Amino acid sequence: MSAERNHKDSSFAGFLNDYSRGNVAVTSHLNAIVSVELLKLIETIDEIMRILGPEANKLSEQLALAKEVLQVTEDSNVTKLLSFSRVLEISVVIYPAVYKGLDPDIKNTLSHLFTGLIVEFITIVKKMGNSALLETAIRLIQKVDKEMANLEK
Amino acid sequence: MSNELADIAKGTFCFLLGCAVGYSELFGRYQDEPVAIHKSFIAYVYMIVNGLASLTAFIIINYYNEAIFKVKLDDVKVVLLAGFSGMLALRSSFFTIKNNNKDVPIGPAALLTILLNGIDRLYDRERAVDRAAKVTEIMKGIDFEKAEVDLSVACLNLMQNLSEEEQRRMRSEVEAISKSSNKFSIEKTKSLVLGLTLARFTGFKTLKEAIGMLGADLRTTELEDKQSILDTFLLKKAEELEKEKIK
Repeated sequence: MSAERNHKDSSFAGFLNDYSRGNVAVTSHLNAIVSVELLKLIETIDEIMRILGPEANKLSEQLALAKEVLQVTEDSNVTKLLSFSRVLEISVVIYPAVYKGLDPDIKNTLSHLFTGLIVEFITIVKKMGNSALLETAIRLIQKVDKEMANLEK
Repeated sequence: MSNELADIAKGTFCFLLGCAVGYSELFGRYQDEPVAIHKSFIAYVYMIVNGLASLTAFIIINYYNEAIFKVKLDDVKVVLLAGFSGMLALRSSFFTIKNNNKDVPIGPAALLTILLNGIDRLYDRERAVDRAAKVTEIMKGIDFEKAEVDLSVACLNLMQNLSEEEQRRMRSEVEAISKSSNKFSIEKTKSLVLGLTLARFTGFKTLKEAIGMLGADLRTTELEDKQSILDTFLLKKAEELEKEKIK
């Protein structure tokens, strides 16, 4: 009986061990995926900055900061994304003023890239499933809805 | 009792029977909350129109008793016939004409049908406002994916007198929502439609009890709620992009 219990206990312990190892594996896999996607965000930021041109404006300053935040190697992906979200919030607020003053030829491309950047970010946040991140992402989309409505006026 | 007084008493009884027929029609049609009939002015108008139809039928049958039925019907039969089938008698048209291969009834039937359909529509609109408020409150935070099967089965089992045909209809309606669920752009819509569908068979009170019985397991977690807000945003952006592509 005792041997049987020991066997059961060891099986259960084994199961827990496998399970936690499995969880660790899933988490590190997710982190690897997110890291690749953060690189895509950086690429999109580069593309936007290229469109905005060499002349620095408030939006390109913010985007440069956003890029910097994503490149901090010591930070975890969650921390990077939390900081990125805050910078993006400011970018969203200043975007309409910068957008209105731009050349009509680049407006459309910029609009697509900027929306793409936000959509990419939201998709990553959804994948992470972190409550604090989801919270900041919701705040960001509320700002997007408000500012983009002003843009259409 | 003089003849006149007796006629008034019979007429009143016929009127009340007609009202009861109207009430039972509404009761059968709006099963999500039959008690609401008592609170609605429009429902009373519907019942009174039915009552008046029965009273009119009584006056006609009473006056032309022998002419219609060849033999004189006794008072009880006249009252019951006019009371229960007054609407039927008035709905039978004097004659019908063909219009675009359709039979168009000519007589009180046409007028009554229009009048009753109108009142019925008004009552349905009035109920819709109440239904919207109730379903929003009851289904708040309910996850469609979790509730689809469990809640439907719980409702089915709580009800003991649903006919097989009603049970089959309820299942197929829930299945239809599930099949088209990817077409809904707002996540919440699915659970609201599920609530409205189930309430039609069980009533709001039973639906509320079934949800209470299953507890928090049916509700979305805070995390799922947040993810659902982001989903809606992503869907909206995808639609905007699609529209731009079409332009």
